[in-house]
Amino acid sequence: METATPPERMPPLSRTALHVLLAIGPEERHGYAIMGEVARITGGALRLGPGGVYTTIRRLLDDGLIEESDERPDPALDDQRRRYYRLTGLGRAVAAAEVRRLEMVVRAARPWALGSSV
Amino acid sequence: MIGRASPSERVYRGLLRVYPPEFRARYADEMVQLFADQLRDARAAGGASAAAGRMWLRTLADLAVNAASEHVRRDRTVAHSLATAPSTSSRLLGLVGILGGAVLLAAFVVEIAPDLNNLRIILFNAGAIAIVTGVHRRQVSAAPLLALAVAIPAIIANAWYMAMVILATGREHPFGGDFGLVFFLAAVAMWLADAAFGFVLWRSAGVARWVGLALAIGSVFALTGIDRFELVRGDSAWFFSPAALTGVGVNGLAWILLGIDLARRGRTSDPLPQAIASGR
Repeated sequence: METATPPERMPPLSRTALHVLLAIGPEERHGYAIMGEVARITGGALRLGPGGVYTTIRRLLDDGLIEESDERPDPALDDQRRRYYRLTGLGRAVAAAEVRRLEMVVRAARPWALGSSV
Repeated sequence: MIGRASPSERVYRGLLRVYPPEFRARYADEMVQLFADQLRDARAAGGASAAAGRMWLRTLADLAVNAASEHVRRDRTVAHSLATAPSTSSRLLGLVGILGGAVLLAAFVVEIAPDLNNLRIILFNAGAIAIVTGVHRRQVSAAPLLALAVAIPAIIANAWYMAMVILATGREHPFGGDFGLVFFLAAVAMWLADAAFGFVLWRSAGVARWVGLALAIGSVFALTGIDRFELVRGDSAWFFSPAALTGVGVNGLAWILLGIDLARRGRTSDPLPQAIASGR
């Protein structure tokens, strides 16, 4: 059997993949909500289009980091064509490992790259 | 609520044809809906024409970048790190394959003592069996019957030839009489099975694709070097003698490259069955 690499030993995720994972967070979100949340948490610095959202979703699904939710919203409240996505256990672990890695980078950079004001 | 598609949505849906078909089949509806949501919000934000124009520009850029990316990197993950690491046994099989290919090639660069020649061929056969086993393990989850149909003949033929080499050790004329005939058949089976294995690898769309083709061609040329065919003697020797030698060399090199691939890569998503099924 092939063995999976532990999350903490994985090389960095792509910027888009990390932001999509963070945008989904503990919720179940559809593509448009993910796109909006990515724009919100990046202060508008990262604006994804439909292609950016769904090519990333496809890869995250392939990697088992997210999964499609079986539940559908009330048809009166939402379009039934929407699919909702949520993080898997592996997705949460990979996102957490990536955030820890970024924290280490920030700690290393803080003394000189960010100046004394931070 | 599902309404009638606007002209913009219909145009966008048409543009989605630039994505790979399987991606489009899975995500087109969601992408069109996301596009429609964006368009609605952009218009609601005011300055309908200007907002829609800006959104179309962003959408076209998004389409160009991501459709191209999806074609080029459709097998890629969000991070290469997420590919499963090869297991210890996969690495071991790969290393045995590398060793087998290397000892086969060794005769081209150093003189091998006659006493060691049989050992060289035994190691070569063991390497080929190891590689076929390793590749089969990758393919079996996707296409069990096809993987088995390719692997079993290659493993049996190489094991058969290896057994003949072991049995021939110490014999004065191992290529004569009935034993020689069986030995000859073993050699033919080995090269043909290796060629078939390489051909199927080539028909798959994996990293090893061109190595598979090299293995197939190399094995066919190596086949022509079998003494009983008498192609490497007589009038045609000028062609078949170097061709058979080159075939053996290419065969050995192909096993080495397959061994490296096996030892390094752990992905199990070999696209062999889809490629075969679609006739690519």
